[in-house]
Amino acid sequence: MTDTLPDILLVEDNPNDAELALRALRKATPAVHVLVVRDGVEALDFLRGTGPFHGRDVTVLPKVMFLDLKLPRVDGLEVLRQVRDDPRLKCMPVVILTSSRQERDVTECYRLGANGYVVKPVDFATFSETLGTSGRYWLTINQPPPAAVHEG
Amino acid sequence: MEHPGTLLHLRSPVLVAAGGVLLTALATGLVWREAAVSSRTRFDDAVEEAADRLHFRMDTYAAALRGLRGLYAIHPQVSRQDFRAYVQDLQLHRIYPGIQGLAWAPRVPPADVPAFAARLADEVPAAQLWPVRSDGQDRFPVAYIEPQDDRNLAALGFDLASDPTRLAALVQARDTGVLTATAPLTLAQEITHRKQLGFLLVLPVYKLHAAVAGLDERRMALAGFVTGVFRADDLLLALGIRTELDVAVEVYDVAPDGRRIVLHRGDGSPQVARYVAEKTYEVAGRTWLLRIVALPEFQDRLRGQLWLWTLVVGAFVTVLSWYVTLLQARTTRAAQRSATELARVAQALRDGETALRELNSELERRVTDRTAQLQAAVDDLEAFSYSVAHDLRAPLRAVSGFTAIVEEDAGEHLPEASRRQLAQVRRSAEEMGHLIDDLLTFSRLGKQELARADVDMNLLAQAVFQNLAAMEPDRMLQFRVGALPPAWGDPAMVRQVLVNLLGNAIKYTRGRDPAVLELDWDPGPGAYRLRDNGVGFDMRFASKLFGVFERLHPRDQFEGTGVGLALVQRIVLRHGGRVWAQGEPGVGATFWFTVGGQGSAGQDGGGEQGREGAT
Repeated sequence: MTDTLPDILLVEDNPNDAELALRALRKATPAVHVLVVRDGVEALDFLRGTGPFHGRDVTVLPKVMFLDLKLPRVDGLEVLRQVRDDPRLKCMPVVILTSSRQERDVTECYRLGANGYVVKPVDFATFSETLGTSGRYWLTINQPPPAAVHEG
Repeated sequence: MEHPGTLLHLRSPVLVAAGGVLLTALATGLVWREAAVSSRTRFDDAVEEAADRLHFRMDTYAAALRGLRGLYAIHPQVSRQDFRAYVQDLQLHRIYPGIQGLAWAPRVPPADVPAFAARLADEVPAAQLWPVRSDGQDRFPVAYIEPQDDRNLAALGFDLASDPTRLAALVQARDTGVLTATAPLTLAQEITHRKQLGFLLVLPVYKLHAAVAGLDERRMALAGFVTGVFRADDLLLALGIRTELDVAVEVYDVAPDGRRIVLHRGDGSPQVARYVAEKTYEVAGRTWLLRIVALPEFQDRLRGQLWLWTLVVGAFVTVLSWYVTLLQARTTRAAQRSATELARVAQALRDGETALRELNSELERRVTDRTAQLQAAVDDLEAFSYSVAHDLRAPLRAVSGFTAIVEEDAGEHLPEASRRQLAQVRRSAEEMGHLIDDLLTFSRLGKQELARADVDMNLLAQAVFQNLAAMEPDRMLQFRVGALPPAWGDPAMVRQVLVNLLGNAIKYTRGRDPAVLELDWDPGPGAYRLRDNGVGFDMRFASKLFGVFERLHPRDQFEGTGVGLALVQRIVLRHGGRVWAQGEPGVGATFWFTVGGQGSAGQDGGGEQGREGAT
């Protein structure tokens, strides 16, 4: 994998959704660097520099992680839990990006410390606008936590 | 448990009867034996009694004779008249029964014999001294004898010394000076053919003031003898031994050489007797043997009745006991049967109780099972909803997204028809997205808890209308709201009802200018009423109005998923209310709805309607 630090870590197992999301994000912020991983295990490996991402400089983190809930192997809620339990990762912005409007899911995510909850709309126009706006916000408007905080 | 008891009960009367028989036999035997012992004792007593009576009688006789001798001690010349008077005074027959007579036999030396004979003949005509002897010995003729009956008169003048038997007694009496009995003899008084044996008791009388210490002196001083005359049978009969004691008595005189002479035999003794006793008795220098034999009456009376009575009574008691025990056994059996029956009933009750408990626990278990099944079903449904929410939307999004991308990237190169068709694909996908959202909302309603509160319907209706109207800025909409009572319901759900109903009204009044929506309270049925001047509907299809996915109008005229009214009905029903509608094509539609449990003032009709709706 590239050593270039991604601005956004997109955890999405559905390639269609991943492609649509990438298009929407790039359309809104053309220079954005997005890394797409397919499940929770890959996401955690990347963040911790383990597995295929061994040797990666883990001191710097993406500006935001867009996290789907329904994932193979380790699901989104578990990834969120482990991130918040990890002193080095716990301050990283995590936005849930999912199809579910289930109250149960929304509640649980906020309880675990999610920074946002975005429901993917079905029609592409709305989807594109939602993703673009959200990306722009986290990349350009929001001030990410300093690296020192990461060191915990 | 029941078995041994029954056996015991069957046995008891038999055991009692057997025991009774045994006891009776034992008692009878004992009584028999006791009777034997007792009759032996009685016999011994009878023997004693007989001996005592004889003894006593003989003593009495001795006393009488001594008394008579006393007469001579004070009165040496006792006249015949004196003698008679004295004996008569003794009342022999009353006080001394069994005595034949009392006599006086003086010593008559041979020289005095003629004078004696002369005086005797003088005093008693025809009386003479007999038998005549001329041996030079003293004579002892009976001078006086009382009472003067024929037998005694026959003895008058009889010389006692003429007979060796009598003489022996006289000699012994003279020499000893004491009362002496003769051996058994035939009295001179036996003048009839029925002769008895008899004996004499002789007591010597000595001359007044004579010395009698020595033998010679006594022989010299002898004056005569007072004599008692006894007929043995008469004497013994007078004792009443046979009649009163049921024993026969035989009396033998036992000579010093052991020879027995029968003195008395009575009417005879039984040949075979159970009890026989012999008793020797010294009588005035002689030995008498009393042989006493139990008479048959004695034995019968002793032995016969008691054991028989014992047997009879024993048998009676046995039968009675057997019967009583039998009754008891029956009663006990009956009681036991009752007890068994009771126990059975109690057991049945217990069984019933157990069964009931089992049934209860079974029911509880079933309820638990059903609840678990229901929960499982609910969980399945939830999982299904979740799956729908996540997985069905993703492909739709892909369809919608990629179609849009194609339109965006290559739209200008495509023919007009293709562009239109692509747009159609995209819209269909988006429509399905809405459909899924509505479905999820609809299914979520079933699980949501009702959080009731008083809802101000006037405020809520205005707010909902404003929101809906804002989405249709080009329409001319008139909304009139009457005075609405508050509703008792879940605010979010009541809001959803108003959203759907008002949204429907706005949708179906499209093309009306102005569109008029009127919401008020219908006091008749007690329900909220929403009227519009829209396209209305055909009442023939009214029943389809509230079904899921049911539509009364073509989709290309009025968009919608067919879920809206179904949702309204579902919410209203969950609140215990009801919803219904009337419509007329081209004129408009009217919807009524109640929210169950409307409790505030002026809601009587509504509450009633609500209850009606709930059924």
